[in-house]
Amino acid sequence: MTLSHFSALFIFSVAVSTVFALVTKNTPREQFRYGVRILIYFLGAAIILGWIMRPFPL
Amino acid sequence: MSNGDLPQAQPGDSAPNANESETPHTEHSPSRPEPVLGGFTAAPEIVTETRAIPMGAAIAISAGAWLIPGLGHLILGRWTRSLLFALCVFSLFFLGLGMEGKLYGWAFDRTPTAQSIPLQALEFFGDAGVGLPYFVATRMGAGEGNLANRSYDYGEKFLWVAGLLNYLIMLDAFDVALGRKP
Repeated sequence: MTLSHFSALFIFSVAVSTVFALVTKNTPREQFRYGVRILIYFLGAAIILGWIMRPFPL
Repeated sequence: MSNGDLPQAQPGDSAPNANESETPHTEHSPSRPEPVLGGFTAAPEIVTETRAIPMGAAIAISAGAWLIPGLGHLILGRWTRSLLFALCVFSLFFLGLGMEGKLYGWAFDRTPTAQSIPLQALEFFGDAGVGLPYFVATRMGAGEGNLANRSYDYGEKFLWVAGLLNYLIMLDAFDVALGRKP
């Protein structure tokens, strides 16, 4: 099995943000909001850092 | 001092009690929640039954939570959380195996690069966090690791993080069992 970088990142982010939200928050509303926020942070940070690293050679 | 020296409370006395003056009691109408910032009203507090159980049972539930991801919350009656936890951990674990990531064992590699040994202990700690699936997979010969696979590195990280998340879930089950959180 081979996953693209983004699909691997997305699956990873969904799983981690779900567990973090359920562990740290108590009410379903808080859990949902926190989980979505972390997921956006994960994806946003990866995309921004990816573009920042783009000019650098491997 | 005799009882006659103490001030006697009269039936019509309106002097406040010391305890009542320290903690003022405010009554909230259940039908009209107090408005907070910007005219929004506070959501009604969700009251969940938290029943503390003995420490030994809480440790046993935590062990079960480590052994099978989601089992601890299932025993405690948190069905939704249990299912979501199990789904997250198992999906990371099996995708990690599918991407041919490596499951590290306790028996360290006897390679000339001695620096790899402490790191491998940490990798083993992460992988073993999944509990029983880790031991079953290693017993079945899965998780050998295939460097030729393009996703090998992702797979390895998925396997570590599945275990590390399960440690968090285990601690959460412990707290729920002791009644520290709903």
